Amino acid sequence: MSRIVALSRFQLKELVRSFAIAAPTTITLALYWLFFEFPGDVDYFAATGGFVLLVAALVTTLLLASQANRMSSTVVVVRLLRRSELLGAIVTSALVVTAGMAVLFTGLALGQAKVAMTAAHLAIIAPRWLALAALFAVVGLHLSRLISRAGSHLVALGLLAFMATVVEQEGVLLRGSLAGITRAVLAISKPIMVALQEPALPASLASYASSLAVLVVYAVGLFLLAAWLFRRKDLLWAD
Amino acid sequence: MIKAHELSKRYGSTLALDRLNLAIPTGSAFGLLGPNGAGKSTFIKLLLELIMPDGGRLEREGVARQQIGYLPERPAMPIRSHVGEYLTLVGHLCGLGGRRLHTTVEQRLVQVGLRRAAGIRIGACSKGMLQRLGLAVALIADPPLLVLDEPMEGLDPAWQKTVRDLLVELNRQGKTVLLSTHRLSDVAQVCSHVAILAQGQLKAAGALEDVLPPRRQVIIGVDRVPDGLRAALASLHPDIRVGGGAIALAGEALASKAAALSLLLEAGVDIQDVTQQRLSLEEVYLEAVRA
Repeated sequence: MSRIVALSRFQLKELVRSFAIAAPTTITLALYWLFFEFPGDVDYFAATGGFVLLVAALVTTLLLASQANRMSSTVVVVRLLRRSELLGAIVTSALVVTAGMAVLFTGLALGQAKVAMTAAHLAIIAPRWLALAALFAVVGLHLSRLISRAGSHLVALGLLAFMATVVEQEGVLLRGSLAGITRAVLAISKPIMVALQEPALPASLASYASSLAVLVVYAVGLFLLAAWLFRRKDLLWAD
Repeated sequence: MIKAHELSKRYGSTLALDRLNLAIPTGSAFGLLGPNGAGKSTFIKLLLELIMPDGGRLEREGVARQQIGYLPERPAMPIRSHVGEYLTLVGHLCGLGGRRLHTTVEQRLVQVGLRRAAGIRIGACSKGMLQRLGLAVALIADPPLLVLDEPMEGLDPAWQKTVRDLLVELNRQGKTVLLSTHRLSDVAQVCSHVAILAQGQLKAAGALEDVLPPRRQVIIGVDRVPDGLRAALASLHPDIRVGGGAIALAGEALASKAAALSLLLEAGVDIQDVTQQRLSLEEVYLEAVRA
């Protein structure tokens, strides 16, 4: 664990020194101005914030994975007990950055009086944002070339685009010949949609908690898959 | 002991290692020689589990992968970090912490002459400084096995000697040193064992004295050769060469060795030594690679 923390701290410094930190910051600010041109209620804040942070987590993971996918990582990988520690450090770093973006997003919304909410609202919203960020940080690993084997990152990108299209077009697709697949995709993505669309204070806390638990299970499952792909990958860095 | 059994690795259609069988004894200083593309770096990457074999297996007895001190051929490092900071990170990854980590980092920086450079950015380091930092990284946790890919690259002659002496000393302390290099003189000075690879295949391997066969030539060292004796020696065999303080017998002339010695003794010549030389590492290397 201490190796993951040390590596994560180092990756965060590199992210700042390379100015790559500007990417998630710019995305967060841009989406904030887009979503909060006018004030919104706390439900709107929770939903838009969840979306902003999942994008920030995804982008940060891609940046960190790209930084790690270089010859300079050779000595680091050799010294690790397991290669998955590198992936763990990337996800940890991405979550730290995303937490910073969450503070920025919330601070702007509160500071500019775009939303009114209580500490109780924040206590309920924070775990769903965290679960979404964790899941999409791990999804970011699968979209990166770092762990990609035989073009698996392109397959992951295709799957993600397919799922997003199905969710977006569910009304049309449920009436067509792809109704079965559509229902399956909707069932898989339901916990994500719950985390994105549920009111800030959910009607059923049990159902809300179980959705978040499923998101965490997704994140853990996908992380194990990433670790498995990366475990025996030939690392032929030549930069 | 590191043992490769029928180890093979292929990159697409290129066979980088072809059923390699090789043993590296614990505590040896092992030189890995071969031209570019011979499979040396591939073998090292397999040893470090950076790549996986397509066939065969590689055993490391008593050394875990993360215990190996590794200096890559081109020590690529994060250019925005600082020398001391990077060394500290690697030390941390090796399980060092607290005061011990701080002391070890200091020691290694002193050892490679970078103590004053601890605070400078890696991107601002010269090639030689990078190479020395790479060496410090390899040595950080006192590894039982050192794997060094072209460690003298970019070093000035004074540092080359320092590093050579350091490798000899580390080997004397019981560490196994695996040295991959094109510099035959370094291997001859540092290594007790050697392997020559070419086109992914093992051409020669073993203790240095076993790999370098005796030359078919005997040199008789004398104080002087009287003029009258030159003709007598030449009459024994035309290939007997007399020059300075030495008489050389090669090839078929070796059959006349006893007769030549008798002639010299009868003439009262002081015979100082009789030596049979070995082929040089360069000769063995070139023969193996050409074959």
